[in-house]
Amino acid sequence: MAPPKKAAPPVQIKAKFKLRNRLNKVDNIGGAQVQLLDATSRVIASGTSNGHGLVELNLTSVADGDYSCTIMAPNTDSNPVGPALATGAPVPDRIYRPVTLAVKITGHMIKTATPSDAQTANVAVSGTSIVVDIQPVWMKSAAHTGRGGDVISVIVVHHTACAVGPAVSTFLAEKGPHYMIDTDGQIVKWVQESEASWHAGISRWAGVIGVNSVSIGIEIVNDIGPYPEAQYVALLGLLDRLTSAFSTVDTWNIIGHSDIGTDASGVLGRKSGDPGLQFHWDRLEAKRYGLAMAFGPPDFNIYSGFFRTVTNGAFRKGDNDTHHRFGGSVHNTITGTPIKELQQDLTRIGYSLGTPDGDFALKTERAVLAIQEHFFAGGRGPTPNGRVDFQTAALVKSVVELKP
Amino acid sequence: MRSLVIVALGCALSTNAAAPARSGCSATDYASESIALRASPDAERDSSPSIPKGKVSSLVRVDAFGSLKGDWLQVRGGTYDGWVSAKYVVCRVSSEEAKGIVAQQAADVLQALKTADMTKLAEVVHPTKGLRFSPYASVDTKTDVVLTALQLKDALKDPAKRVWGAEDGSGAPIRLTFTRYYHKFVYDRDFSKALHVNFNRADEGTKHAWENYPNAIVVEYGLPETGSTPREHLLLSFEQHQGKWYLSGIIHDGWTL
Repeated sequence: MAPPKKAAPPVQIKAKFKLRNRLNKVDNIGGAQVQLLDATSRVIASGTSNGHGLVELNLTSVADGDYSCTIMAPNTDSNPVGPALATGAPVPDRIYRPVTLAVKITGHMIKTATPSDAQTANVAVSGTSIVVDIQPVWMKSAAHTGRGGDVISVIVVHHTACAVGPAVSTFLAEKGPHYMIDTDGQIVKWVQESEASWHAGISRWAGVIGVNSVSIGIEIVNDIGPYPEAQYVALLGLLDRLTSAFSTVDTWNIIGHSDIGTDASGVLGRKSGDPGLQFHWDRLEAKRYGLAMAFGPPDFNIYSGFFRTVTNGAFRKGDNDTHHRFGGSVHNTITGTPIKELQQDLTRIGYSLGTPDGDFALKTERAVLAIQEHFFAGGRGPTPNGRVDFQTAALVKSVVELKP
Repeated sequence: MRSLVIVALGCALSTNAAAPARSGCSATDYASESIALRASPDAERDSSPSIPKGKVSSLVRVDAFGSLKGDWLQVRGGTYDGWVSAKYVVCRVSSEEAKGIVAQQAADVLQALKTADMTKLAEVVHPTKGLRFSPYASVDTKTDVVLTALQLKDALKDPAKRVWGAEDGSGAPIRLTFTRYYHKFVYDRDFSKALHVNFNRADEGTKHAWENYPNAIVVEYGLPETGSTPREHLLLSFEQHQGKWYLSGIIHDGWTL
């Protein structure tokens, strides 16, 4: 008589979770607690992810039905991203959103898993595999130095000029801002405000040379094309939190990278197009953030009456007070120093152009291009051309008028 | 008498002496109502008559003379035949014409860059202006390093560190040996696999190059963005000098914040 067969061990059916960083898929999330809960919040199954971001939940004895699944990375935060995030010491490498999934189980397998908040994670279910890409809110960057005692007084808005992928890999190690706003409005923080992030490069604003040490940098993920509404909402919310936390920030000094990026000699233009003509500064102006212009009737007598004397005239490169060359031609009847006055106005607003000297050279042209780009962006004006026609002249005067 | 330092060898890179560019000209913002015309770039006195500003668009460019003190263009049109300062007149070469003039030369330069053959590269360096290296698209003529052909030949063996500009983002000095600069800011990716090659196409990426090389032919090699790697361009500027075209600038247009 043959010996009795051994009973086959019961087949275990496991759900295999893979937890990754939503913005950097090679970034596995280890040490995360994953729990499956029933309708009474009783834990049905649980596990902790390993260094590869892998965790298995045994569903062998789990009945068909609807469940919830919570995923808590070792460091999580559910608050709006801002100055209060990642302020402790030592600061962890990553902080993620806590995730709750609505899970449907049939035949001991997870058939669907849907985040209760779509902004916290992306989930892909395939057989027994559940890949969860979790939204980070803090990714510790190495691209920063101390502020050297300088006080935060400026906020610089950039755009990435590329998709989020290249931006993330660069921000982690090489260079980057304090904050990044993704296309869906999600904000990620990279550097604590106590440190100067490497975002502005060589730059000048309002007499400060090297704006990194006095500023907070915000990169908006945008290559070309309009900025989604979600990014404006996120940016304005972040500015609210930053200006509340840092009373030293002068709201006038919420400016674009194109307003401050210079070469080594202080000539603007190094970062023209950042954040570019698609950006609506008027959204910020409506909340009294950044540069602003006064509204009033135009005065043709500004700048020594040049615009009254020369119909459709425009100051341009080569113009010079000493030589009475204005609008490309000599006008001896125009007295005064309109070019120097223009330079003084642009300087007072904050733009870098050296010492006002009455000579409309490259430095002045670049400053004109910068203010045109700022205020003509968002479809408010023509393509910047570096020339000061009456429209641009009146703009400069109206901005100076509001400068605190 | 000026003499060219280019040595013609069988395997040497060519300094293209094709038909002169004949594209149209325009006056710069600095031009007054009449523009001085000289018999030669080194003539001390203006010849007469000068060219009225309104007539500049009817001129064609014949040749150029480049120097560190300033560039001169030989122009011709109607009764005008002589040299004008490039401060007052720009004569840009059309894209199609530019391709005809420097396509082969640019391909040779790219191959020399790919193989880090500085001897070959040195053969086409501008004889009076040298070769300017710009780490970013925002060319800075005051701080970007310029090497002569002689300096370039042995540059890979040079242990000295130079400051090549300022890092994007941090603003810290780029203090590197030539070799390290070369592998980070010249040929950091294989531009021979560029998806597009543009000749004298003015766009956002080349506007700073145009401002600093207004009379040059700028050849742009573009690599696309892929995954976590941003798009990147390498720009070569060629400037005409006494009938031939020489390499005068290498601009690394990498992604900046």
